[in-house]
Amino acid sequence: MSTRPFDRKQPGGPHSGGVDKQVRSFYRRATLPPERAQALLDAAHRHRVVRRRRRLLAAAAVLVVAAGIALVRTVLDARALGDRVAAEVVLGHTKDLDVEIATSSYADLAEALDKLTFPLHEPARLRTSASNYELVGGRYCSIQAQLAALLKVQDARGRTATLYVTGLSAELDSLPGTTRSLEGVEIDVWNEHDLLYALVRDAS
Amino acid sequence: MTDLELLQAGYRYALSLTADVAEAEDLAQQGWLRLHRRYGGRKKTSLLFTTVRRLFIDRFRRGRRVELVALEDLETEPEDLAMPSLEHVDLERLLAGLRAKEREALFLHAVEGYTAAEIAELTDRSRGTVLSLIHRARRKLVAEARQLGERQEAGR
Repeated sequence: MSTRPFDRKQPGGPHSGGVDKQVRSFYRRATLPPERAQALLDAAHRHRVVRRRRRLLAAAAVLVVAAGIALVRTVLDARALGDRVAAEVVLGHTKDLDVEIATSSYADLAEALDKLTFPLHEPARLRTSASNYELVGGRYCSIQAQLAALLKVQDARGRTATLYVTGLSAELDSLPGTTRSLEGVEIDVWNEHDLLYALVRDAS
Repeated sequence: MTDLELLQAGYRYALSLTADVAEAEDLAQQGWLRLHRRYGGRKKTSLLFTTVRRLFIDRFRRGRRVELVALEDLETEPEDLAMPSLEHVDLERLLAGLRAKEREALFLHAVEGYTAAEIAELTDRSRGTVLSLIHRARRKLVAEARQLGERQEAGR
């Protein structure tokens, strides 16, 4: 079986005589001047370095933007949650629901509301408040579909306020402490000993 | 293949296209830098050749390419392809007299060891055309070399 002269890798062919050999020799002697070749290699190297830096910068920019978006979303989510909780506690306060357990003792109330999954006691903020809040009583309620306690408290001037208490879920834990006014009432939200408190009282 | 070897191969290929040292250096430089811009770390002979070739064609289309001078059709065909040994400068001149596509095909086969099918793929021509180009290039070189030898003989 004969082989075709061009279908192989060896340069030159059996019928090329001295032509291919001389052409090959001619071109193999042709080289770029060393200084020009080196300059080109250096330029390519520089280009690689610049390209790598650009890629790193682009990746860093993407990360910064992604982190920024995540941060903004977290802040917006927390703000939206705060709005939802505020609306919920204001509604409970304005309905002025009767207490189911009338007592001035936190210990008695905690004993009566035995389905609560968190301890119930007077928060430090109320204990140290200049308003001298006294417990009136309490009942079960919910905040964001989570079991909570609704406590009625009365200040030294006889004004009633509503105090909400619930455990800190992963969602509620992201809620920042705030003081705000809404629909004619003042709302204080704060965390204390892994519990979320919200005190709602009529604006004076 | 090292970067330097690849670069030199690109230069030689550029020289086979242009038949002009300065043009080939310029073409090789542009081809090399474009290869790095477009393909980054990928360094393959075929990629560099394709890049250089496209640049060459772009120049040719813009009329900036060195003039391509074809040898006149040969009245007599050489009986065989044995070619007298030539001085470097003479061979350079004879190669420059070939058509660019003939020189390119002969270079890719004789120097780079490409098969006709590979040259056809690289240059976007049919295998038959490539075979014809190589054959014509060889015959022209041999005929010119013989005429040159005869003139030199007569001059003595």
